[in-house]
Amino acid sequence: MKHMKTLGLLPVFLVLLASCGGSQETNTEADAKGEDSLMMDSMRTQVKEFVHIFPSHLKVARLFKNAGLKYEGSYLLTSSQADKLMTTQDKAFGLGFFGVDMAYTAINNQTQASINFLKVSKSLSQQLGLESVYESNHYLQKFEANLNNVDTLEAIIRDLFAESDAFLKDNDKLDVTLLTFAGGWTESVYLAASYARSTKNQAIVEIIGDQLVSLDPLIRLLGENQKNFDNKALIKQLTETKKILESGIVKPETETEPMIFQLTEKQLDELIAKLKEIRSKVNNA
Amino acid sequence: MRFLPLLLLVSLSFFYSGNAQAQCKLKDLKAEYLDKIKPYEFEGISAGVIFAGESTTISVSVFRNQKYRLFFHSEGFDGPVSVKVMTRNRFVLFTNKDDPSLDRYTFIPKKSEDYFVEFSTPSSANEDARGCVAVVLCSRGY
Repeated sequence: MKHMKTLGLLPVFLVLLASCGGSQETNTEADAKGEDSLMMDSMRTQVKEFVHIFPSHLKVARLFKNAGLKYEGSYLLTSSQADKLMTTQDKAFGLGFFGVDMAYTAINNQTQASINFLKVSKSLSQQLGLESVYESNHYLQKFEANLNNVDTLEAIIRDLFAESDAFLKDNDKLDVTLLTFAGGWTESVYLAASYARSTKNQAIVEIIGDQLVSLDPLIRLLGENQKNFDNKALIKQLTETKKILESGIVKPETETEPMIFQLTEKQLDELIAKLKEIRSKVNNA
Repeated sequence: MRFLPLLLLVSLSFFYSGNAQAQCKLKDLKAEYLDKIKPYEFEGISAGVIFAGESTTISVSVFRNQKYRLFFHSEGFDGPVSVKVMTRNRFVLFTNKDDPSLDRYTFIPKKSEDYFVEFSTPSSANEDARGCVAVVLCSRGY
């Protein structure tokens, strides 16, 4: 902080120097103080811009697939639902859902559905100011040219997620990033929980439990980044989701061993009901 | 004359922060690391500007039984930057104390948890010196 204080004196000195030559501006010093304060705020922001690294949605989709999650189209959103998202907050949140549906369909060889979700994601992204990410990287064209190669499609989606994330953070839109991750987290766990409920697949349930790891930092950061959006309702819903998940911890983790995690049918029903409630923001928009 | 103070402030602001900020764009860092991380795949990145002589921590969520590699990036400082990777209970998993040139840590977590990457930067004679630190998370296989 001593650096900031020292640095802060220079502009004040220059402002005073400059104002000596002026004849009419009685507000100059006050203006300068305001500007100085703004500059210091900006510097503080710079040194505080470190952010938690969340798991990529593609990684999570792959983990669930390897645990046995099969494709079930009826669980997915329909692309027309994106048209009903009106506010920036809802669009950012919805982008996460459609991004996960895009990844889920792509890794399950449902390429036409995946293209539709990519188009929806592109449209939402453009409305959120991310058009340059799509334009400079030609994702849609690359995607259409590689429909028969799932590995390449995955690489395209991975890059798209990474570029969007970098763009948003570089442009001080951390709040949008967090909402998008929250939407993606909800959709990932919803798809997995719905499938686990119908198949009683314990491996999927265990990976659902692992998603707790990113929920704590997500809830904390959503709370800290509400300058442009009111996240209180979402935070409440995610906190309730967390409680349901924590009720599935049969044996807590130790320093070296993972927790033992199980969900009964009743707990899965509770989880799905809560996720449906969160999802209704997009599904019933 | 009315706008002179504002212009001076803006110029100063750019002078002091421009270089460090330019070095710390995630888009550029990602592009820089895409080849470096192979055969691993890019998972995520976080970066920020920090004053010389100060410390900061970047956290990262990892899943059990997955093969990960963390890359540590720093630039703009006068000397080596020390890096530690720790668990939530501050158990140290990695440190570059004995070899500051170490820029990566490869691991397979036994449980899903958050790791904390702590950067401690060297002091500088220039009190306004700042630099960029970043963590790149990659994984291999699924």
